[in-house]
Formats: sequence, structure tokens, C-alpha cells
Amino acid sequence: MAPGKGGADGVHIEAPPNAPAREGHGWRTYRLLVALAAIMVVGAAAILLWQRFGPRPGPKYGVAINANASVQDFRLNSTLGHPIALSDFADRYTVLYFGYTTCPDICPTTLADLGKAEKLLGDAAKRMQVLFVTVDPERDTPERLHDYLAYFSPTFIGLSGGLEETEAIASQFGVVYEKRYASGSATDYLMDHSAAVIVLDAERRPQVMFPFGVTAEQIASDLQALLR
Amino acid sequence: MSVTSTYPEQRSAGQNNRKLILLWLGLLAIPLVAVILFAVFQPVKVVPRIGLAPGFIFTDQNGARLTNEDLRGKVVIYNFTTTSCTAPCVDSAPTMQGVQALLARLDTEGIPVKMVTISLDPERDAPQRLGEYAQRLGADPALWHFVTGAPERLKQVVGGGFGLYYKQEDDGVFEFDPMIALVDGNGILRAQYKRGLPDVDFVARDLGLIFDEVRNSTGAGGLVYEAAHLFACYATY
Repeated sequence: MAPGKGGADGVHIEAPPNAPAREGHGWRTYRLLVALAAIMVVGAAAILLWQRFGPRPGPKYGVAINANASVQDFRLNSTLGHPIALSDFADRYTVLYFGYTTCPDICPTTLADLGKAEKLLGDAAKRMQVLFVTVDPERDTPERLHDYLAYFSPTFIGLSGGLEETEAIASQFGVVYEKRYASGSATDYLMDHSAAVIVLDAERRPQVMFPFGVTAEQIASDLQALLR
Repeated sequence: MSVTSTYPEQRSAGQNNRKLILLWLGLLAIPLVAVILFAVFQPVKVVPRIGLAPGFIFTDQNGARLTNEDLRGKVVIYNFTTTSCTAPCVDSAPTMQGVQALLARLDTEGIPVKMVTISLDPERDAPQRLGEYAQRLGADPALWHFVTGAPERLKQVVGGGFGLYYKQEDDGVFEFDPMIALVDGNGILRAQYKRGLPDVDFVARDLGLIFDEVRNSTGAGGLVYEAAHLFACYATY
């Protein structure tokens, strides 16, 4: 339609006979649209509120902890070259795992699974940080930790502290470990240790625990729901 | 369509719209009312998840090692005391005996249960003394363990993890408030009865709720239980 003369005038002239009906129609459509828009806005708000505060389905493969209380903060030497505190990750979830670099089977399997889960999560993985705390600080130097973790993921951070310190930190996650000597030599030992992976929220409250044996895909699936 | 006929039509359209809006408001109110009803009436009761129970490696009355990992998969009732707890020390052992009697007649439907007494006094409560203490209480050795460990570990586990403040006076007597705690099979601390000694009925009620949750929180029931945890306004003691 040509702009200007033809349009508005034409409608205006033809309008009167049908005007009330048309107005009724337009008014109804208008109100319907407003109602729909309002419903959509309220619905969207409800969905957002539900997502933020509503109950989340518990993890399918891990164990729900959803603790009310935060764990005590700690600061340990890290593979980044400077000490790192748990509270440094106040903007993301932390995925905590206790192990040691000469661990024969469980640790590499779990770390490989966490590395794979991280890849599967893609961008969502930016909202979490994997922290590996060595339970064998006598043998695991930060350099050794760094080289070991690089094998699984470039983003993983290794942490090491004193013997007593590490034991106290581990205990508050229900993690225990002890040396099991393989021979008479003082440096030839394995560490028997709890194998669970613990996920904390930004406020350092334990949320989910993955027992050993949960696959990378399962970990990724549960984390996906948590990191939404 | 005539001009005169449109006026009532408009009015009825307005009424329809009003009805529509009321309908939508009603629909929106349903979940809100449901949430409020759920929070008020609490059709599903849960004992809150307080946090992860502490990890420990202790020695029991037989000199054997007992760790929290050994107890994973089992619901555990803990108390914290010393074998020399006599008045004015408030002894939680009779309550534990009550719990043991309760467990003997309770059908846990295959959910394994253990009881653990942690002694705060490793210096005096060597395994042998713990064994004698266990016998004196009539403890079932298959159910009830008596353990202790190094003082600094105990402080970390009992003082830190379980949140029980205690101290040893100069005369060697331990000063502490009696406490009983419940830990579920996932190693999650579910109850700390700190305000004096709980009635065995309280412990029984909470144990029952934990058993119910273990049995019912699969599938869709899981979401209901998560919702219940969200409104964990259920006072435990």
C-alpha cells in the first residue's frame, strides 16, 4: 500500500458502517494479547523462581547431601604456584577429590572420569572447579601434582598441605586415609583412602557426593542439573 | 451485524475476559497454595541433612580398627562419653541401652543399623576397659561398638565434626554435655540431640523417618523428598 493519501483516508471513509464491530474485535484481540503477555511474564517469573528456589530433583547417580552448613574454609599450597583457599571459588561450584599421584587405580580412574565429565559439560564446566587434594603430601610436591593433573585436564588445581592439616580437612568431608606399607621401606607405601568425589556450592556447602564407580557421563548428567 | 447488537456483545466479551483472567489467576494460585499447604502440613516429614559426618579411624573394644568407611551403608547412632561418667556427668549410656532395646524389637526392613560409643578419654579408656564397659551395659557386640582414638583426632572428629564441645579439667575429669547423633548410610549427619538427653522415642521417631526416606525416595518420590528437605522446618528435638 502506498503511504500517505490512500491508506488512512480510505479506511476512515469506509470505517463508519463496520466501526463498532471492528473496534470490538480489535479491543478483544488487544486484551487477549495483553492477557497472554501477562501470563507469559508471570509464567516466566514463576519458572525462574522455581529454578532458583524450587526443589531440584536429587542427583540421579550421585548422593544428595544438600547440607545446610558450610564446611570450614582452608588454604593450601596449589599447583598455581600460590596458596589457594576454598573461599576463593565463591562464584562457582567446587568438585573436591582426595587422592595421591602414585595411586595405582582408583585416583587415575576418577580423575579421568572428572576430566571427561568436564569436557561433556562444555561451557557449563566454567561454573565449577575441580580441586585435587593430595593425601600424600610427603611425596606429592606441587610440581609433581601439576604434571600429574595436566594429564587429566588443564583446569584441575592440585592442593597440598601439612600432614595434620590435610587429615583435619579430609575428615570434615568424611574422608579418611592411612598408609599401608608394601615392604619394609619407609617410602614404599600405598594410601588407603576414601574414594568419594564431593561437590560443594559457592557457599561451601556439600551438595552431592559421587561414590567410586559412577561413570563420567553420569557425573556430567548430575552436574549439568546442578550447574543450571 | 448492526450497531445496536455490538454493545451487549462487547459487554459479554468484557465479562469473558474477566472470567479468563480470574481463571488464570486461579491456575497460578494453585501451585502457590499447594506449596503453602505442603509447607504447613508437611505430608512428608524428613530429618534434615545437617552436613557430612566426619571421617575417623578409631580403635574399638577388641583393639580392632573402626572407620567411618566401615559404617557406610549403615544408619549409625553415636554417643559421646567416657567410661567414668558418673554424676554430675550426665551419662548418655542409658539412652543408648534404650535404643538398643528399641532396635531389638524394631523391624528395620533390611536397613543395617549400628551403634557407636566414642570415648573422649583415650588415656583411661583403653580397649580392655571399653570391653568391660560394653559388658556392663549389656551391649550386643554385633550391633554396638565402643571406640576411641588419639586426643587430637578426637578433638577434630567429636569437637569439629560432631560439634560437641568438651574439655578435660586439671583433675582429669572430662566436662561435656551429653549428646547423641544420627548418621545415615551415606555418611550424612542427620540429627544431633544436644539439649540434654533425648527421649528414646525421639530417636525412634527420627530413625523411622530415615528408614521411610531410604525406602520411599526413589523415582518421583525423590522429588517429594527433596521438596520436603527444602521446607525442612521439622524440628528434630
